[in-house]
Amino acid sequence: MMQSAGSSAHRKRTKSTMENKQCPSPAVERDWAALPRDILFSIFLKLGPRETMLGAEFACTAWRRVAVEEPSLWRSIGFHSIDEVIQRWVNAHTETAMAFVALERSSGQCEAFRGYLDDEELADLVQRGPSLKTLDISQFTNNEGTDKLMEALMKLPLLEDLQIYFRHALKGRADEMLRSIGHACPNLKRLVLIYARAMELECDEDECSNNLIDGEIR
Amino acid sequence: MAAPESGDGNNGAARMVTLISSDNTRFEVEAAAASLSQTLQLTILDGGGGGGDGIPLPNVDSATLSKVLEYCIKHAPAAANGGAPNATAVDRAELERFDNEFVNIDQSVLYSLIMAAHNLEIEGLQSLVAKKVADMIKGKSPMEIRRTLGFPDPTPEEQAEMNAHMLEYGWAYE
Repeated sequence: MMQSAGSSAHRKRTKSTMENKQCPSPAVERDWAALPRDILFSIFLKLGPRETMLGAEFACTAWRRVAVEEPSLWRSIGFHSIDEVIQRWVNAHTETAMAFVALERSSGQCEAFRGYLDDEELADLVQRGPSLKTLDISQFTNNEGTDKLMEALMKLPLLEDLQIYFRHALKGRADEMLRSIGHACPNLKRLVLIYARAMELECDEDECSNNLIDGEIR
Repeated sequence: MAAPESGDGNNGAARMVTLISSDNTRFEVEAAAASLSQTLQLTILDGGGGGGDGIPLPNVDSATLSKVLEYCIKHAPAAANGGAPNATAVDRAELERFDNEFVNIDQSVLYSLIMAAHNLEIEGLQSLVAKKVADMIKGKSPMEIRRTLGFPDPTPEEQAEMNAHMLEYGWAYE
């Protein structure tokens, strides 16, 4: 028999009498736990790291394996939406712990990272994510000046997009820091530095906060 | 090898190909639509599927193939425009509306569709169904995911492995 699936997309097609001839057992046919790896991979990619870690990877061993064995699932960490955070709140400490497990799974393939960091965590991050192109430190606990920051940035030669929110007032001059960042990251295309509100901040805040600079910085 | 009824869809009647489902139902469809499948594309370019021959698809049943072709027919014009860079917002909104409606289906149908999209390598459809499954399990606990998708009960070994994993990363149970 011939069914036409021709020009009309919405035409109701006549049911074939042969359609139900061989109907394999649904229980065997439709085992979601046993989905092929690349299908699961595409589902986890849509889920994103955080959702995968909070649910899917604990659903069964087959799913877990895909989560821990596919480094390219973990190329972009921390870029979930605020809705996702509200839906499933975990404390900031756990959030950071999860981010670092995700980073470990990326096996050096991580290209984008967003999260809260201090000097030590930043050093750890650049060690495990040498291919980072995007780094957004939503809260940087800069207790000890910016030397460690510069040291870390030197280890991210591919960095193109950098955003840092400094929790503490910066000592030293902003223009010098900009110059240092420019030297540390020759491929930088976008830089946003957000300064903590601080009375002793010497520089003009309008000039520095939300400082968006396009193009090469020298 | 020339196609029996050739024509690239630009002039005259569009070239048709025949696809044969696992349960032996024949579907006649425009070559341009069937070519959204990477798996079929080469065969069709080689002139296959025309005339009385038909391309057998032993892994796809007729109900699923009919659904897959519905997607392909709808998306073929936009795909022909090279991803429709000059499509109007109205066209895009219409496709989006179609896609949303398209995956609003029974879970067993969705499963067959996922497997077929995968077998036939239809990129847009693969992405669409993956997104749908992701949306279905988003925000759910592991147990809720198991229930939603009707996982078989874990074997004792599996359970032990999962328990160890949960101990290691206990945040799912905060």
